[in-house]
Amino acid sequence: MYPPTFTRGLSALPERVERAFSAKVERLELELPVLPEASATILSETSKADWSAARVVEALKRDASLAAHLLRIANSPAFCGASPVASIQQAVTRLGASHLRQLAVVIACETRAFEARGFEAEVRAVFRHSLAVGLCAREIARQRRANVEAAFLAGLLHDLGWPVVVQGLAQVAAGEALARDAVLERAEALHAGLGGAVARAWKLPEAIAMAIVNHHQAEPPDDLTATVAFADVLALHGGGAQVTQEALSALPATRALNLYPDVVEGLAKQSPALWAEASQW
Amino acid sequence: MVSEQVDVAIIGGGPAGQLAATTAASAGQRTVLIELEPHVGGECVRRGTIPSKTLRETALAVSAFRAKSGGVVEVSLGTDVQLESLMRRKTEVIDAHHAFIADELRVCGVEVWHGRARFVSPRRLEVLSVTGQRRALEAKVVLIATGSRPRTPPEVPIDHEHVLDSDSILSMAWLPKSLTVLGSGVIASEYASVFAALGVAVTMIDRAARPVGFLDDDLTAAFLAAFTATGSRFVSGRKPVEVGWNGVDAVETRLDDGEVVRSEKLLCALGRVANVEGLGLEAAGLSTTARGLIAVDANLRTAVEHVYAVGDVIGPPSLASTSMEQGRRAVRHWLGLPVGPGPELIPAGVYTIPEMSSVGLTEAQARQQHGEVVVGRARFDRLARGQISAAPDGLLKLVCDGAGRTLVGVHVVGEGAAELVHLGQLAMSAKLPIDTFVDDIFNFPTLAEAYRVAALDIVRQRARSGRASAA
Repeated sequence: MYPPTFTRGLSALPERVERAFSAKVERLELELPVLPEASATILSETSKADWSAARVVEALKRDASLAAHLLRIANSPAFCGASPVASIQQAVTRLGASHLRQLAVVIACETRAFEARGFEAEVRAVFRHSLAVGLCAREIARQRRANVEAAFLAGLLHDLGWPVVVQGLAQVAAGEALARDAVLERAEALHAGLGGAVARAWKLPEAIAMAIVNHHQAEPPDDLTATVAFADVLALHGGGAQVTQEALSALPATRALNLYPDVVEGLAKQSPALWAEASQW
Repeated sequence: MVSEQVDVAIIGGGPAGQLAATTAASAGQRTVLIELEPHVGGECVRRGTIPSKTLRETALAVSAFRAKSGGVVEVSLGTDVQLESLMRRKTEVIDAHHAFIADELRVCGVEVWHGRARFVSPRRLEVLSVTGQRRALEAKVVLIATGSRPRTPPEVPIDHEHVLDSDSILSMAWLPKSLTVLGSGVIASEYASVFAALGVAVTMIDRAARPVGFLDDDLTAAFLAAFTATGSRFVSGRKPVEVGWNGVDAVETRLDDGEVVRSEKLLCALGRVANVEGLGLEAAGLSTTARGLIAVDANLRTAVEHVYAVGDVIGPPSLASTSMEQGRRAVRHWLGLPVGPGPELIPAGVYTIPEMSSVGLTEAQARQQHGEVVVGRARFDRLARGQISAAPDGLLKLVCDGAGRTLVGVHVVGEGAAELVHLGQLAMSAKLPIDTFVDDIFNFPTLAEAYRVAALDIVRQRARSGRASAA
């Protein structure tokens, strides 16, 4: 489950696996999840100022799984208007460029990127947490009168490196049994840098990649990183973890964002609803 | 809680607060500056002047390269440009400015407290830190310089995603293809022209007949000509009645005449509101005006004798230069020191493309005050430097009294306007006769030569009018 708990002192990896995996990480030779073609098309198409709904619909028609997910989300409480959406065309129309862009990434994560054989429960938990972090980051940005789109994407993708590590270790191990704690420990240690690499491979804005890379830094170097770092803990609070408001106020990210106690209190109160919303996507 | 005793307490570390603090501390006063944000500098540094000017430099480079290469090199930005990539130097610029300000304050001996201040009595302030700790001080004089934030009119649903304000506009992930700008004041016009120069189709909408209405007509006419030449549009005399994201692909703005303007993003720049909430003004014996501002007299003093208010919190013009002067003036007034020349000699700089700057009276104001006036103009296309720089649309305008000898206003539009105006400002401050610009030689080729050309225009008119009187 997320966040993982470790029993320190156990779970060393076999030396061959450790060496081979370290080399792959250093040379950035781990297999990064590829953005599904339809998601990539949506991402690039909707980033153009003169994007065409017709071209997006075409891309979705070629990816039934993505289209089905999109319809489900378009009909979720977060997006559903007065009447339910029945067609892809209608979903594209209702969601608009910005939401389509965000959802293309959400769905890519949910269906392709957050996959790791043998660790399905953990990776699923990481994805749900990531979605909650995206929603929390969006609210923090709104509160601070900053643009919400980059905050959502950075929050959503901040743990994208996590399944990359798990999958990478599995590949290197080639069937050899690995101690579960050892895998999770390395995922926790390496996910930020590798997540940044994935974001760059997906051609997302550099500010988002940097926020992913730096979200565990002791002192967040910029506002977007601080937003993700704060949202990371806020989402845990929203999910019922033992994170007090005092602990939220004491975070370096809270200081970096200059969030005063009353603002932290307001966000903390909002966080269970954001966690619940993430579960509905 | 024990209160620290200080001479001067300043709430807010923007341009007004900084100048007030350094002026007070330099005069030997124990001065505490209380700043809400981690760094002193205010919105001006974090989300206003500094970041927007950094983006403007890129826009300026694009449009200048286009003009100066004479069309030999085609300059255009791609369709999926990340906005952040156009402001690569923003962080360095902000950090450098923060460091400079912190250094200035330290050298002058100003104590900076990071926290949120509120009055608990007319002289006592309680300061809450971001981590929840409280401390208090008691001051002989308090200056309120808490600045302002964008106004959010009820008919404009700002979501910081499709419909943005001037705080969130620069955090857009991608450069939009089209942008509606509501308002035509300084902030609206600056962003409208910067995005237009970057190739965005901009529609600026306002009730006013022309943008930046407090500037001289010749300046705004030149600005409008350059703005519309980019393919952008200024819709005057109308106001939005409904704004909303259509859920598909555009923000739709319905105007009072029924026209619907569609754009990918919308920037709402319909004024600013003073940051007075949480200050506990009532504990100080103060209240706000109907417009939510703090009322002050000519010396920036509020209704309470030992409380002054400066900068955006007292209302327009909300320019950094004016705010700085107000901060300096308020402190000097409290200390009984000479305050110097009046605010009429503070220049206004508007960083549109082309930029506009002004000091003294506009032609219309001068006619009202002096009756007859003599106006000299120098178009930059008459200057060698203007031709070389491919900035032929610039204009320098000198406004003199009816005798054509005393300068009462200087107005510049075009490349270097905000720098060029200072020469005229000093001439006005030193009360130099207009002929000084004819008799003294400037570097060649420079845009400053415009002063000589405009002054000659005045001297010729004076001579013609003298011949007419003699005849």
